[in-house]
Amino acid sequence: MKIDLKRPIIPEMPPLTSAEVHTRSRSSHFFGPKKVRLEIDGRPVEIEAGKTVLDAAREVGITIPSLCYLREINEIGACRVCLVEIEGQRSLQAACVYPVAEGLKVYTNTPRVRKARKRVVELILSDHSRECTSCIRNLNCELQNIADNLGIRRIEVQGEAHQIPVQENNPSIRHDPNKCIHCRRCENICAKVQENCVIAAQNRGFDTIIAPAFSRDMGDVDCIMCGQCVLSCPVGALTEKECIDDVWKALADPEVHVVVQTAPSIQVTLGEAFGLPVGTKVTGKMVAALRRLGFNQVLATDFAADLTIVEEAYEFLHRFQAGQLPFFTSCCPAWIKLVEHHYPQFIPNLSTCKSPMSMFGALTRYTYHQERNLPKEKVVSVAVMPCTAKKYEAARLEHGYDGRPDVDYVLTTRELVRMIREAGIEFSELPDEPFDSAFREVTGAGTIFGATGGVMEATLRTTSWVLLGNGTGQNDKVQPAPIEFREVRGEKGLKLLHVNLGEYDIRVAVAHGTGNARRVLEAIQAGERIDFVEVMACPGGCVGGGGQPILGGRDHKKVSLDYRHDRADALYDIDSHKNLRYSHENPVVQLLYREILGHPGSELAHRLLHTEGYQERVK
Amino acid sequence: MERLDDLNKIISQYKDSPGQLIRILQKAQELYGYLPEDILGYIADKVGLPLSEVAGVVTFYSLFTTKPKGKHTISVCLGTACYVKGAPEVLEAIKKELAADMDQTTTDGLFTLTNTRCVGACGLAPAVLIDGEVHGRVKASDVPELIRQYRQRDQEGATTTEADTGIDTVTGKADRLKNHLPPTQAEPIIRPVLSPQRLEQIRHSYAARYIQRMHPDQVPDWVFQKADDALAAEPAAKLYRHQILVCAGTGCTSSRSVEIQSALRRELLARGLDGEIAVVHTGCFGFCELGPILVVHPERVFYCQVTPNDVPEIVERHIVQGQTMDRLLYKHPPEGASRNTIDENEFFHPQIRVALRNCGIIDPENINEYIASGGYFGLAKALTAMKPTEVIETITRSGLRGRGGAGFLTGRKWAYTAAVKETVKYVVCNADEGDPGAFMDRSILEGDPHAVLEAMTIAGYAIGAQQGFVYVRAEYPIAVHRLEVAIEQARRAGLLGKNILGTGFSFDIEIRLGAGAFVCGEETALLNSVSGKRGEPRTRPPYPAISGLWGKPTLLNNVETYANIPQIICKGADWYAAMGTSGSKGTKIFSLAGKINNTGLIEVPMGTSLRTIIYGIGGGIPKGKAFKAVQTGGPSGGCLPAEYLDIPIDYDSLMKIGSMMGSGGLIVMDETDCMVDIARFYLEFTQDESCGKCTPCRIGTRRLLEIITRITEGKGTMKDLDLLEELGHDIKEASLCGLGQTAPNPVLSTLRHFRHEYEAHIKEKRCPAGVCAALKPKGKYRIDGEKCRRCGLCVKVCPVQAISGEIRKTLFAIDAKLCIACGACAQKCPVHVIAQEGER
Repeated sequence: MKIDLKRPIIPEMPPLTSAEVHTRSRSSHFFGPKKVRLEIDGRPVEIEAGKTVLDAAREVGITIPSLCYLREINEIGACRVCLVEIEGQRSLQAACVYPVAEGLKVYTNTPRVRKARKRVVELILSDHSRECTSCIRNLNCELQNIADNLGIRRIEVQGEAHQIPVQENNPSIRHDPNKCIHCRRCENICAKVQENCVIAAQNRGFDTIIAPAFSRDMGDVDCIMCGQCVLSCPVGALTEKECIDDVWKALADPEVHVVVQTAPSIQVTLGEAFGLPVGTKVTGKMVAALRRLGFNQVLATDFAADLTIVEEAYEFLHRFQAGQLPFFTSCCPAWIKLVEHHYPQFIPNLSTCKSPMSMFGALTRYTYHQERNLPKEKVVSVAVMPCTAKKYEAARLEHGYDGRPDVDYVLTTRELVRMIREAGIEFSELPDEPFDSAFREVTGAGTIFGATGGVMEATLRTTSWVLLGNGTGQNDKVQPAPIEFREVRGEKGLKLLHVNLGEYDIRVAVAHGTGNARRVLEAIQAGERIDFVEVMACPGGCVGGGGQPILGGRDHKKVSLDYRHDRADALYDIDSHKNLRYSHENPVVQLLYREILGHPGSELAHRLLHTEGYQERVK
Repeated sequence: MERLDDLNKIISQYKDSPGQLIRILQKAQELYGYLPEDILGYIADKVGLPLSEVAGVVTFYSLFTTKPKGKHTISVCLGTACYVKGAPEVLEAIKKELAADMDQTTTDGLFTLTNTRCVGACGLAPAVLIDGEVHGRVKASDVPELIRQYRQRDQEGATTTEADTGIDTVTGKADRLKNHLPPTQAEPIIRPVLSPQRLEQIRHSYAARYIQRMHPDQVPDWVFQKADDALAAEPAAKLYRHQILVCAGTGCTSSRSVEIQSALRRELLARGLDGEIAVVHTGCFGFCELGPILVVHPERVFYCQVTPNDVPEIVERHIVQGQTMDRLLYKHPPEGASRNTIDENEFFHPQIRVALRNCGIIDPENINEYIASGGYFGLAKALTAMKPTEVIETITRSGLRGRGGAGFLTGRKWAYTAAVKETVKYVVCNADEGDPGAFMDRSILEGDPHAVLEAMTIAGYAIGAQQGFVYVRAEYPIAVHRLEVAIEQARRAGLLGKNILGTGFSFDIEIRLGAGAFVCGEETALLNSVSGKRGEPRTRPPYPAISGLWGKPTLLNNVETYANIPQIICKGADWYAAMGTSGSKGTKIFSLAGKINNTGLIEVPMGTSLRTIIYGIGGGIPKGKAFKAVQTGGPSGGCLPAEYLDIPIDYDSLMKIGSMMGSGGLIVMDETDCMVDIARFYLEFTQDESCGKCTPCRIGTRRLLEIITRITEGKGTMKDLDLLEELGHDIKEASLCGLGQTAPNPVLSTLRHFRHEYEAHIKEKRCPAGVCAALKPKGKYRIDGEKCRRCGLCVKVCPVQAISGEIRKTLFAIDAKLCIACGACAQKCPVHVIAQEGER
């Protein structure tokens, strides 16, 4: 039966302004480019009205220490580390929230200021579990850094410190309230950016704890495990749950064959942790490092991304024909969990495709041991992911084959960094090495999966190729399929556009950050026609993933959240230099269909590469 | 299921009005007795808020509980006045009697023990609330009997009989209060006041009744004339032969003034006098020490400490025979001479009442009486004869400064808010009077609620706002009730709502209840709380004048500030500015409490000396004890020694000597109070009330408390004193809001003025006032003979051979003469039967 794929074209999308979490408007929006002049430590500064004293100080090369401040996300002046003297003000003021004004006179380095800052940090330390040397954030901790910069040599006022059991029920995130410094960055990133509001301040005064309702364990609530709280935590209060020991154990076992896959974004973020500039591509060194760690096979998840695109593009086309829209991507486990918890009515709209990681894992389970004549149970599958939620995904029953999870262990980028350090591998001195031969071929489409809009763009490449008549053999009808869909890229929190492919008009939405994802779902609920939705739960996509390097140590003026853009650029750069940029052109993917799977959406493909759907979750 | 239906009703009633989460939670707690987690989940779902936020709100405010409570909740007031008058001993006695600790429920599920911060019953200190009933002047020795009666009542299953413990009792909860209140007179007839002329007419028809309660000197002649005219025109406004005014403030209500009113009505009815004698319930006279208070007009005779049993005699002797009852008259200490009338009374005659002008004079639940006293004329004048800028001009020129604590110039605040160009603005009244030992705002709300409503409406006109909010403590049920009645009456009269007095100006007021967080007195915290969030302050700028409630320009003043406004508008800026000192104009209300004969509320011109207040009005220190210090400004203020008794008190002079005006609490301490312990008490309060947002206050106040506690336990070092000073100074410098910025003041001021007491605790391990338990002279040890196991272990450890007895044969005993109170025997005793004298 031929279904008319034509749909009425709606010329103008209504603006969804509230969704744009990442617009950098501030009040400069209203004041225009109005500038004010002020004086900081006797030096004149001219800066846009609406900026803060902290910003102004940066203009004259002064970094005022701060802990709770997170631009546009957490501007509450609570930690009191950034205190400065402002002429005419009785008490010291928090520079991070003090708006600049004409004629303001600010002093950032007086005895009064230094004494107060020191006292504040000393007080924080007096109620902080100071097991620094064994802390996951040792040498990468903003508190440690500030204490060092301020020259704290002793804690004069000792006293009762919190002794709250560490919360470990969450499969991805470990919460140690005794290290919490009450900066509230996690609370506000969870509330304002992700809009999940899982953790918030509970109790009052000294007993305040930043935790889920009733101080429950983070594993017992509707946390989607995106790990943005971990990224924003200046100390070691929120961290990923490590599985390094398990991986070392597998690597040390001569009987066991360990396969590792690396997500597309790892190659552009791993280098940061070893002092390389943000956005440096370290694909070859990464492979070399993994090999030196003892992994038997080092493979790129990007290949599975190509496979995902082919499956997903065909699933989309199928649903497009059947009118079963909108269609949602399913690569992001945090996004899936969000839908399961809060928008169960949309569960049928989720693609049944597993994520590239799980597809890769399933294929490994299915074919890998056969090819190498290994006992099935002796193959251990490890994934290096930019993500905390992937740890949870790997443990889900839907993602498994033959009663075993598709992937045994998920390491975050940070955990891989620690393993490389532990092994004493001088990362910067490593040679570039290629991935192992199996599944080595990857296309640019698979690579850009790591950035927001990437899955959409990759899918559109293959979809357009199909819809524009390529592959039909009727060459007279063929229009060349576009490669780049630049409109779906970039930092804008929510992108709604329609893509015109010949006679077809596809309305797509790309959202990153679950706050923006909620806007898309609300728009659909309100009757907006959207055909295809890509959501990545982390702002920026996987390059901003909850498992990515945190740069909190000395000499880092920015937080990890500021690096997404540069990291994404690196991925697009890799893509632009590839010869193959359509997923379906991947020769290994083609081989796989020819030899094993048959065709996209085949029965075996379903068994291996798809889930049977998702369920509503109450908790 | 039934409760769920009720809950649904509550939710749908409030959920569309912004920021009503706290109200919903309060109602839900009334329904369930506590807030179960699943119910909170249900509420969160229904109102569309994340559970983490709802739980965050619930756990922020101390009036909410997520644990089921016992059948009765015993709440010990730990306000300053109660503290210095023995609340800690009462608390200990209750703990012992219940065998339960703070915030615990007895094993039989009958009692839950909690504490509460000042309920404003300072005149009845120490106060204990059981199920909302205030029990005043409780002694530790009363406790077993008090609790026994509740137990017994439960066993008998009788729920209606009042426990007659001899302790003053009355219901405190607003709902039950309504049942207790006898109808004073028929519900006042509320007529719409659609024009200033109509306001004038109403004033005239009630003027006669009103002026009968005034001193003739205070009433202008024309009022008499108008009253005569009105009487001629409207005989309904007749004069009574006598009007008996009974105080219905919290203090007197706690000492059974409601019963007195009922008894009076019954008695008058029985004698057929009800037509010519009126019984009027009024707001607080201020003389809480001597409640219940009753004043008979027109002769202005002041009776105090009246009981319901006195009523027949009062009616017989005073009303019928026309004699004054000497027994119930005020006796001025120390010589105890009787004072007949309110005008002769030393407590009253030095006072000049502006903000309190109607308290104790009008019926607060009758808008007509307020109008008769000149009420709403300020509003009429502002709306019809003044431009908004002129109103602000007048307030500015009056020199009125904010009475909440910081003393910011009120007119300037109004001008800032007026200057912001925004169509939506708000007027907010801060009635979250949290300073322990301060109860003037409560008194105004209870005695003259319309004054606040009128002032807020004037403010709305001046700054261009149409909506007001009163944020009032839930701990003040009577005040909340009176406010509700007043708002309702003002709306019916058209003095709130659309087109007020026919001028086209519209303004309305809603009540928002606090839920037990002192920090909500801070303006930005209050605004957060009004909008249903955790009461955490935020940094300023922006000030509320620019960005307040829901981001809109908001004018915030406290109750006492507002109460001055209508008078200033009516009588002019110059009249007000003529009172007070050069920097602090007008009058100020002080609540006198602690070790003082006349506990109560007074209003005097700024610049009055502490000596006049304490020794003149306050009648000096009881029991001939020596004055040691007076604490001004509540937890943010400081303790002043005798050398400052003669300074004129105003904002600036108090600041200069390291204290502050605060809201006007004055707690007097005598020689039996330990200043280190007092500082520790205040610190315990502020650190408990810290919101926890900023580091210096959250952790710093805790550290301060730890150090000072160490000192009171005799474990301090001289270095600790430097540390207290340094740390206190740093907390003041670094804290986010006023709470933290002033929290160290009690420590710093006592260190400054009473350093020797600190040193005695450290160097001599001695508490000069004998208050600090750990440093009390050690009592000798004694063996509870009955329970002695005759093991003889004690004999072996006694270093001075003070213990005698034969192992397994005789009971052992300690020779008190020889005992050096080292405690070795008590530690060794396997059955814990050796205790120090004074212990249980």
